[in-house]
Amino acid sequence: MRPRFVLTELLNGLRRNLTMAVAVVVTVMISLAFVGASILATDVANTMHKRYYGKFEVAIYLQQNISPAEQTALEQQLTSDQQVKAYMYIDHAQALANFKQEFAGTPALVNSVSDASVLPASLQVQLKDIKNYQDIVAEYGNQPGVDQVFDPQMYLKPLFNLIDGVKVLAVVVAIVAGAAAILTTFNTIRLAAFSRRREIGIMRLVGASNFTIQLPFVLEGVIAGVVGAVAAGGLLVLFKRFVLDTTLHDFFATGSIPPVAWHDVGGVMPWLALSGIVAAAIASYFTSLVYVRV
Amino acid sequence: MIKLENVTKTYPSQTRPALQDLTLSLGSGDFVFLVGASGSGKSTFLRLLLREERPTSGTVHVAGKNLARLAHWKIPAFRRQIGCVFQDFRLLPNKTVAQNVAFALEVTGSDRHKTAVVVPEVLDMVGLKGKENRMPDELSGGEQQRVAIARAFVNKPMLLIADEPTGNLDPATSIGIMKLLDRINRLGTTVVMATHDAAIVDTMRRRVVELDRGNLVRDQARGVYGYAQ
Repeated sequence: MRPRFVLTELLNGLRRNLTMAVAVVVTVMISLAFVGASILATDVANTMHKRYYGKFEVAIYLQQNISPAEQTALEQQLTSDQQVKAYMYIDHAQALANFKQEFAGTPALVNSVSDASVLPASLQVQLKDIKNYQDIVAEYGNQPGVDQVFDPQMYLKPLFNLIDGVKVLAVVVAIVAGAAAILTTFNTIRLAAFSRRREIGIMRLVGASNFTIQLPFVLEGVIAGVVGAVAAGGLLVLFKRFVLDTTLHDFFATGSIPPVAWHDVGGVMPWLALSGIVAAAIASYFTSLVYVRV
Repeated sequence: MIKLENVTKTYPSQTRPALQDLTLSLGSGDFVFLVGASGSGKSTFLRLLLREERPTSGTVHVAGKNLARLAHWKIPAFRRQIGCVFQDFRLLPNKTVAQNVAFALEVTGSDRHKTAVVVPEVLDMVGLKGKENRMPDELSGGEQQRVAIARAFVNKPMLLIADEPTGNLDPATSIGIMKLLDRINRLGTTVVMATHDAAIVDTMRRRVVELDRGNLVRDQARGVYGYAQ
């Protein structure tokens, strides 16, 4: 097998089949860009999980008129509860201090609260496994002296729903575009095989190996995959620069959703390149197997 | 060299066999004309020798190999021992004469030095010296067939299969092509040639194998085209 011969065949093939090769590159680019987007969205969701769930405490807010006996009973129950790692009693004064600290940026709100007794006392409960918070809500919600149990999921759910939505959307688009990319590759190789049917016929007759006959087709697919992957990487860079960092800048600035860093985008690139190359090579190998039958 | 035993070939869509119970052997260095009307099974016979088809029953041995048992991946190596020439030449129109011949070497992995030496030699032998850089459409039919023969012979095959190589050529040009095939035969290559050209068969007086609707009806040393009943 002479590399120069394969290269010549490859360049001839690409030149003859340029429009189809461009179509493959575009579909590969779109599908890989969405694969990249779904990886990044998953990263963001995982970071959020770590950030929020690690710190989660379930707050059991106590009624203003809770009796000492009721409070003692509650605390005893918490102490013996297998799911509870630790708990802390926050009295009115501490609640006010926390409130002031949390909303230090909004003095008007802080100043509107002058009497500590307005803020309820609470038991801040750390769980061994945050996933079981619903048991705590159910168990302590109706106990005497309990006003309500704060359900942390209520506040985070919309955020996670948003990220999950983006993730699912990206995966769906990646799958659809990936299928389109494979079908386009399939058609491209079929056309390439048709336009080179004379050469293929002669190669078969003179005894060229299947490898020799198929290699230019597979390389054609791989090159389209590489170019498509590089273009997809470029698309992600543009997306970060002009959408995430510009249009959606204020959204991330609140800090509720962790921003996507450049090194996150960079970390996705090798995976895009790898999946682009492997998928294109496999698709073109099997197509050429069908259309370049010995 | 070639041995067919009780070979029957029936194509899936047909009821009548293309070849029926054919038993035949050809020795090394033979020159054999394969004659018969269209549809008599000549092409099927040649396709069996090339392992483009497998017999429905019976065995085909070529160059010591049982083609029915030849693994798929061994077919290319097997075909390197066989040269093929067709009525329609089958040259690559976008390659020069020399590139067309070199193509057969390149795709079978020969190195560049061998190609550089062998291609001019073979072109000289077929009488195309000085036309290495012509394109196929700049050549006459006879010259194009010489290119095809050069490409078939460049790997020094044991067997040369020619499917009506003079079918598109005038009588004078045909004689030139036959002289070339005869010369290749004298160099030790077995030649199997399917033809409808009575004048050539009658002039050459070589072994003639005649097929009729899939049956072997004549196998004659130093035969002629039409059988004197």
